[in-house]
Amino acid sequence: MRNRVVIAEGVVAVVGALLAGCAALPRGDAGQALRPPQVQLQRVEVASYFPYAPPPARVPLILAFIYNITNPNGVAVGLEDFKFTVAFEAVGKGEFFPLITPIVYERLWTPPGITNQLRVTATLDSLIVPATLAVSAGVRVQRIGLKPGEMVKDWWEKIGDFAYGIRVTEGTALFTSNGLNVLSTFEGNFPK
Amino acid sequence: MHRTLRFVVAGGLLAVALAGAVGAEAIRLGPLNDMTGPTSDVGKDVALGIREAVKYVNDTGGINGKRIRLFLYDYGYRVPEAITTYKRFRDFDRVVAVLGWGTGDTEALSPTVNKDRMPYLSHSFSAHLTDPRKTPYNFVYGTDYSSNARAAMTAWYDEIWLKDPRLRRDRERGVKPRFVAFYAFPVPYASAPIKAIKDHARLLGFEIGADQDVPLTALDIKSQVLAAKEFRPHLVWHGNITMSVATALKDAAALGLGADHIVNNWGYDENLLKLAGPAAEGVIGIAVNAFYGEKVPLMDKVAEYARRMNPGVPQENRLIRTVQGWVDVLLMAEALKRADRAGKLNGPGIKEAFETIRDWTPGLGRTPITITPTDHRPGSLIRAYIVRKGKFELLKEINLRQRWPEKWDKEWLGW
Repeated sequence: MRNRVVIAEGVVAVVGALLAGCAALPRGDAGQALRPPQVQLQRVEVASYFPYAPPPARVPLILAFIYNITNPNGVAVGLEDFKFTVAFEAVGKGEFFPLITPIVYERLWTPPGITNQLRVTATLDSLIVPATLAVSAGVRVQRIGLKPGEMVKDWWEKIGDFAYGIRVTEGTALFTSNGLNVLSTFEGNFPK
Repeated sequence: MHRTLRFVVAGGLLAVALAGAVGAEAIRLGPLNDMTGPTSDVGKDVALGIREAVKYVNDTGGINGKRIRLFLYDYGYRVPEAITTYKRFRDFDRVVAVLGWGTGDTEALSPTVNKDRMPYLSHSFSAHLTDPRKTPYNFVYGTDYSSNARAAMTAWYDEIWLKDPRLRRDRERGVKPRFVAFYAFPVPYASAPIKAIKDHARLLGFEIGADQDVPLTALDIKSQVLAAKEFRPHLVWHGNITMSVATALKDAAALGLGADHIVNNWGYDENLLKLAGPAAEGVIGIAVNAFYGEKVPLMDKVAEYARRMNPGVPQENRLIRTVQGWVDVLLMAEALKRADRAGKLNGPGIKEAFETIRDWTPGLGRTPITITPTDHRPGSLIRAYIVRKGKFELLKEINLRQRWPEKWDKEWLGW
């Protein structure tokens, strides 16, 4: 008899636990219960600076993008991957040119109702950026009367004052919670 | 009370364990992409497609219930960076397989991945990667560049040279069709199929003129066009990527080169129509799967995931490259599923799984893929398209194996 009670208790415990577990699980894309965390570009920093030098010198431009991540859910969410495209404004022309798409895979947990911060560092290369401009926007660069090399020189020399706009586009951040996931999308500008 | 407490504690522990178990087992996959370098005009769109396709695979059951976890990196088309990133994949991210990118880096890494027994499915379709006696762990998801070149030339020969009234006078006078190749000499992708296309030109009775060196970043190639014009070519092969091919087409039109054009798959996409405009009319090229938005099986999902995951990228800017990213991922997923079912989710097991694929297609307009232990060319049926009234039209399907069975089986593998 005692054995039967123990078995019955066990069954109840397992079923109860399963139900409790299922109830506690946030629903992902299908259930729409897990809300996408808000991702906001807070600022851009020059993480490390090397003065511009013309080719064949190869000069890095190292920027840090600091994001606020706010979790509106009642459960903690973990960042799985995070990507965005960085575009620079041609100085004085008002046109933006995508240059790099940083992607990071840091596991960053944000508790319920809390704002966390993520820093993403991206390196641009003064020898690579002209090629990027040529293949992805060569015709547009020609149309506004600039040359890729001149644009790079301007960008490298004027970054300290942020004398041109930096735009973040096509941002996506994948968050997980209890094995389910939700996608946040974001954009941003700096200086604002 | 004690009993109740026991229930609560046991239930809580079990719930945590169960919740943690969902999706805990992930299969790590490492794509290497060019999103900033000289092939970024096609690479960025591929990278979007890969991420979206992996999400689709995970949403639809993953790899027999296991999620794919993606570690996608940009290497800017720099071979040293690719080698460094591969070491990160192998030693830190611990991926089970790599989705590689360019010909230069894939061929440079080939001895290492084969020593490491790391399955490597690349966006480079260099024929050098298709002979398993030399590169057993390398696989390609698109028909190889050499086969593409042979097919494009054959399509032009059959449909234009033999039929087009413009060329009747030359044909009747017994003139041999004259051929030149435009490509970036130092770029392994561009130079990979040159030996094959010249072999094919000789097979079809062409006269071959001097090659023209066209950089991938070229915005002006008038001097190369003028040099080629002295040979009065009937046909030009373009072995570069879209932006550079568009420049070549525009300069050829402006300077009255008077030749027809055939283009390798990475130079032939929706952006070519935008960039070259009227100069793209009549241009023949290879597509290894459907163009973005074509009415073919699974394209609805491609568009749905593109809109959902990257709403900031306008649909009209999406390319065939997104679709290629999907074909790449779905082929890899198929191999992973087969390896997992066989209980061999490791390098040798995944390689064996790839080699069991026969007449398989993910949809998306990809012709059937067959990969065997002795031949990693993923099929011999190739579609050549032509631009008519600003749109791509299927010109001809060429089955190289059916047409030249001896050569396909005994001569052409691996180059």
